[in-house]
Amino acid sequence: MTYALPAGPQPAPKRQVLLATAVAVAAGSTMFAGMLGVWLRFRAAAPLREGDKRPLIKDWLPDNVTIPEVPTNVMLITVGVACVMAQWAVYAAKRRDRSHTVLSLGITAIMGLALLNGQVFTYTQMDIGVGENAYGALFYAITGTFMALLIAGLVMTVAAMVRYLGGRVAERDLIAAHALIWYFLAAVYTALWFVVYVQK
Amino acid sequence: MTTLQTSAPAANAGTGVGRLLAGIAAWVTTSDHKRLGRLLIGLGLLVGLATAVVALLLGIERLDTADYALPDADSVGRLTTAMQVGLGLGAVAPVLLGVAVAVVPLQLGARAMSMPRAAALGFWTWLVGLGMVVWALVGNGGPGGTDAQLTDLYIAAVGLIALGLTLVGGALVVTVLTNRAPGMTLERVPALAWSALVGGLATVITMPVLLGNAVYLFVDHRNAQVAFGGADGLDTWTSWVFTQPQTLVYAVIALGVLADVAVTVSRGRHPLRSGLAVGLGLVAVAALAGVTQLPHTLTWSGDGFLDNAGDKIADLLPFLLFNGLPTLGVLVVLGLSLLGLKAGKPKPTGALTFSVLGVGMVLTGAAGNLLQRITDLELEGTVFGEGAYVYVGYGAIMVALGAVAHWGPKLWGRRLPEPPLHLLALGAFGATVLSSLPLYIAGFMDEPADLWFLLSAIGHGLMAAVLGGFVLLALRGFTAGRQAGDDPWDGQTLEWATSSPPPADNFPVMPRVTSAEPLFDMKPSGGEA
Repeated sequence: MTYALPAGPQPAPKRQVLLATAVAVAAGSTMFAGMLGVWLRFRAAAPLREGDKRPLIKDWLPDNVTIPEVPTNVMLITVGVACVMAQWAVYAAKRRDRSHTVLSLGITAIMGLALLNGQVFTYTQMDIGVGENAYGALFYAITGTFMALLIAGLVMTVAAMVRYLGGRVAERDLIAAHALIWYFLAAVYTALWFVVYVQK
Repeated sequence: MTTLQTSAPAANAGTGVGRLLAGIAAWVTTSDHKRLGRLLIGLGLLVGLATAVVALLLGIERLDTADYALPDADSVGRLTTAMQVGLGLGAVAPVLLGVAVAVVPLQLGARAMSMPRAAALGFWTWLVGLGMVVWALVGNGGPGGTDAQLTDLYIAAVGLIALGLTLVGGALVVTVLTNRAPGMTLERVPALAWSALVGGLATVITMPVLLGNAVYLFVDHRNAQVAFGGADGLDTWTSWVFTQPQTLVYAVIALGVLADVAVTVSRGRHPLRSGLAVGLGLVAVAALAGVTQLPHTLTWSGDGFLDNAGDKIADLLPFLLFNGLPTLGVLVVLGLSLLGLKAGKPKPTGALTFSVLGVGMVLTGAAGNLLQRITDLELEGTVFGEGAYVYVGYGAIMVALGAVAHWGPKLWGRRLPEPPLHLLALGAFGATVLSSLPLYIAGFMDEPADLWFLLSAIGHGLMAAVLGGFVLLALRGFTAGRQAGDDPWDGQTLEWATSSPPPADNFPVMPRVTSAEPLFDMKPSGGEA
């Protein structure tokens, strides 16, 4: 027999998109933490550079490679601005301010494109081959993974903007999830910037 | 934003080839959790069967390494890799996730799974990755492989499998957290649903680490091949996925199965629900060990008890945290489940036999891991570790078979006959002990005799026979077996409140839940046996 359980009320919305994004962010965080851990392990295993006045520097970064600090620092500022814009979108969406929501999402997308541009510019400035040595392989793997995450963030920005422009102004969850993604990207890039570009 | 699919599948139209194609298309494009779950269970069991056959071949190869039965000496390495990937990522993880995908939304009183398309994408990603692994290994790619392109393919495949399992685990987590019936608080979710939450989270935080490693390995292997040791170094960077305590992450859901099956067949209420939840959580601590990618060994050096006391404590704490706590968790769940059985009047079903014996095997594997990590016993690098892996892997598969026997009537509407189930459960128990215990013994020996490998090979062969027998029994039983009825076990949780098999949207009306055993509250007996 089938039991006739008492019918309950329609369950309240439980912010599935935001929670699913949080789960994805957790997954991305452990992935990137693991990658940074491997990077640090390689760096720690490298011998100290002979004759160097600063013995803490490991013989890890090839001699002919110089980290371009200006574009990487600008990227750090850019990803921070992207977070502010994403949060502005949440603020505007909460007030059903359609024009400001779309504007802030658009600026977020431009910041994302600027970040992509900055990463590619860094590649051209460093002029290191992926197959030259261990540093090259690890560098392109970890920064390439960041670029892939960045593109995923950009796709989400565009999707949120298109849906919002299409009239789905009640989907505040998506805008909040979008902001969460950008906070995650900012955290990832900050860690990447410190470990790869500052500590080298 | 719509994240639930509640529409009924389109009715098949036409006859013959068109109908067949429509049926295939419906399965290929499905995002119905019951179908996805059955796909994961079915294919995972077939991979488990293939893995047992591979392990049998490996055992035969080990009997006489001077005269290989297979074409080349590299086959031992490839068979080992095939067994490791097949058992952990090809069978145990997908079958148990499949059980959870199929059953948990029903237990929660949900009309569908959350993020069903992500789960479907995860299934297909996993399947494609698994196919690529087979392709790569057959063509001499993979760890130690000589074909560079196929080794690239192997690395990419491992990454895809990790991504697929992450997607399925993530969808399960979101389902349990957001898609419960009114009144069903987290304290009231059934043990299987809780284990799906814990196991899903553990999968979500460990599998991406494997994915990140795969990215590194792929980029390095395809280009420089200097950082990670080329094909020979793959094992160094991925072996943590196939050793404990990470393997316990795949088995967490098995413990939830036992807890639910035990309390259902004993027709009682969980004596200590909170203890059960804590036990399942403790097992998931293994995930923290997984993400560190380190074995966390214990070295008890020094003649006196207090010699090198600081070093001993520094080793002991992570050893106990990462290896001891998960083992304690398995023990807690097994103990509380047996306590639940003692408190009620259990019907000894085949599912119960499978589950109790299976979790016992998992516990034996977890205990073996504890021993293996004590460096003074010199078990690292021996076949002892493989024995522990097989104990956990086959034990978890046994529980999965029990889960199919228990919830199969709900999913297919028909029951499996009990006597052959008991026979198969005992056969699986014998096969697991026979395939693993000799490896434990051989691990302690400097030069293990062929006898132990022969016994282990026989055990793998027996497991292949058991799995083949179960698949045949299930095919026959679920298509032409006895009608199950909606509540064949006199159950207490929501899945038994709907029809067997359930309609497309699971429940005609959204049920209201007032306790952890909502069906018992309605039955005249009050659920007490």
